[in-house]
Amino acid sequence: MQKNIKIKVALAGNPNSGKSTIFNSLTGSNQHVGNYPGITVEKKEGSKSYKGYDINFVDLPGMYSLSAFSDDEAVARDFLIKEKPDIVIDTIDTTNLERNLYLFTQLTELSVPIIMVLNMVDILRSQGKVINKKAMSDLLGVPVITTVASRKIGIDDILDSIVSLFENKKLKNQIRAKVDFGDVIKEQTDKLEDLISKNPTLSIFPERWLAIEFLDNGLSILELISETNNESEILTQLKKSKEHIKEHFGEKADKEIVDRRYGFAKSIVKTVVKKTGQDKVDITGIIDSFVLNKYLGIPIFILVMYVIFKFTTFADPMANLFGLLFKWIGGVVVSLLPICPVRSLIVDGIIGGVGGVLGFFPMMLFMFFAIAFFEDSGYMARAAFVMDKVMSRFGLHGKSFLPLMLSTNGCAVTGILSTRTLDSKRDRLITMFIAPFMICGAKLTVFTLIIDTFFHAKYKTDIMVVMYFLSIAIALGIAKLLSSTVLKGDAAYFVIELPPYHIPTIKGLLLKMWERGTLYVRKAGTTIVFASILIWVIFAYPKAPINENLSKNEQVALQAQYSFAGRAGKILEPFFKPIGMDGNRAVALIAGFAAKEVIVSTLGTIYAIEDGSGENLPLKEKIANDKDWSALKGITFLIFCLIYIPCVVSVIVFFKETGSSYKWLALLVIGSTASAWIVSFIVFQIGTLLKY
Amino acid sequence: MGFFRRMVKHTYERWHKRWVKAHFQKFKSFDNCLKYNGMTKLSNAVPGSYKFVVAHCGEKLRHRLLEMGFLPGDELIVIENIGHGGSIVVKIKDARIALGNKIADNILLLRRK
Repeated sequence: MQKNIKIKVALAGNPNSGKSTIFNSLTGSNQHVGNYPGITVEKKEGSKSYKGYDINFVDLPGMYSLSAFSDDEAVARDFLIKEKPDIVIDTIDTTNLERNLYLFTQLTELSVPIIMVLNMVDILRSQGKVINKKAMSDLLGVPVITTVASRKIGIDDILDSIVSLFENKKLKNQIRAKVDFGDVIKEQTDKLEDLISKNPTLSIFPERWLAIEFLDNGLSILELISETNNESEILTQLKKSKEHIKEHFGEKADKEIVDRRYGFAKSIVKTVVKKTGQDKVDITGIIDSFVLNKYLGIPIFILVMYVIFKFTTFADPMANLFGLLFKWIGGVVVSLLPICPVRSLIVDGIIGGVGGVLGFFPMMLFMFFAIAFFEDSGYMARAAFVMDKVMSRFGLHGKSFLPLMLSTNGCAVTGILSTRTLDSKRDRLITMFIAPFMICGAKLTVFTLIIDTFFHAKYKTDIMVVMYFLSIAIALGIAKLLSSTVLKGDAAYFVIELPPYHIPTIKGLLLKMWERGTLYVRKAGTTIVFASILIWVIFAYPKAPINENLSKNEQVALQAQYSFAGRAGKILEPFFKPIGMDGNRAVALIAGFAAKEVIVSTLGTIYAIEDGSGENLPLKEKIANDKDWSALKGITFLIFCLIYIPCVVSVIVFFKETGSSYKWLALLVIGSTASAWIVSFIVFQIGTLLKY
Repeated sequence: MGFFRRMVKHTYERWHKRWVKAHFQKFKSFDNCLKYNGMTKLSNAVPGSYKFVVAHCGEKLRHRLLEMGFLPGDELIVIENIGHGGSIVVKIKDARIALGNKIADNILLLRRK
């Protein structure tokens, strides 16, 4: 069989133009997420075989223009210029045609073949407007396709048009209408083009585009200039040109250029869009008048948060099912293998450890699903708007709120990775720093265990809510502290677009949920298996000498003291005594560095070994029966858990995302542990004084 | 010569002060002055239709706003203003954009009659 010809297609477009939805329906589940080399921006790729071609799609980050403002946009621009895709698909939100055409005017200057996709035509129709596809295609000289991505209308047309554009070489470079910048600017760009074409490093770029981009204040483009040969010549010419344009128009050059581009876009909109019917009800406007209301905004926000948390409780039956599944696997292994260290390792170590971890995986998925729903429907941008006032008081950005949300009941790793949407480095750093202090899914297991043990069923939820608020207060407190000491200054200006509301597609939600969930599964698959084995080893070895005179219980107790863990606990006890913890809990907490859920499984192992009474009580009751625990000690334990060193995976991710900064790593690791000790010391001592 | 120069400077400053006082005393504050000229800061704008005039901010953000469609003279509709340090939602070129209070303080609008 002959090999298929490959076509490289890039999807470009404004944020919220439905680009991801189109990408999802073009590629199906055949996707793969990676990173662009060197930078922390996600690279989404997918492929599709169609009519004997292998079409390779790259979903570029959303951008407003090619003169990159954030990292995301710089990546998109560099991809378009350096990788030279065969075809660029420009996704356009038809309801906001003028602004979306602005990017198109820039793309035309790159001289790549473009397919224009007009998305969300159904919403335009409901506004009583009609767009003339044929006129637009004739006017601009590019294929124009109308789609409704959420209902998969027009997806095949895109594929057809990719193939026909690729086959007909003649159709390429056929862009007819380009923005006319006028004689004055043209004169200056010609001079610049001349200089650029002489330069070997710069001439790989389309000259005309680069000349205009230089005038148009493309800030990161100016960085390219430093590595060129005739740089000083270009710079002086650029300065001259800018001055000349300013003199002529009385405005800065970039304003004039943007003006021309928008003028071009406006004239196209005027010719192709016709108003035929009456404007139907503007649903987005109606919902927004409640959601963004001065008085109703915050109550609605709280309601939405409540709905998200309520939704995660539906995962409980599934979590129980997972538990049963692992119990069954353990049983199978026990029946298959003879008694030996390997069996103990597999059953107690791996299955016990990983099973405990995956026990709350369903809850995490439900959480991510709920968040993805509100994100895709357009509410999360509004939530950022509502929260901006509160967040800016603590030196944070409105957008910082989503990473914190993902960390709560979810996973801090996902939270830290999602800070990539923040533009300013300072905001990102603070948000990454505080994300591990939220109660993540793993910590939740510890909290549920302790609270279940020591408090009456009536107060359980109240105490849990108090704990959530405590974690938020701690995180915000740290943010305030950081922003008033180490990272002085204000959060970046808050400018975000509020997309129109729409009903998300199930497929898109599931993909998003899975993408975020797998970040966690990978962690469970590697670190936690390793940690479980390690913990099993330190509790099972070295073996105590077998003494025939001792009963089975005493033998087990002896083993607990004899093991590495028991010995380490003895040594560490003095450090943990002032905060009301014994050696066992110290060991559990140290094991918790591997992953917070390991705290529970370690406690389980300790009590299973220590008790050895044969009766199989749940861990909860074993702890309740232990005289060395009390409600106060439980609370101190939880507070320590909340603040001390985050799990190893989040620490590693944090380290990588800060650009391998040892300073920040040290601050996170040492600062959090020290303050955890101090806070729990205060709580425990005051509690003891008050005789609780 | 130095004395003469100082005399001129002194006289000029005196007159300048008087001129400023005479022209601006009717405005008790900058906001009032804007109001008198039919303008307003975005952070103080009540919902309604306006014309965008100018944004005073860093070069980078100015350029970004320009590209997002904040062109001088274009129509801008204020949809919601939370006030008291809260954010503002505006509609420009069919897009809804939320702006933080700090940036909104530096944006001037012209009221439409």
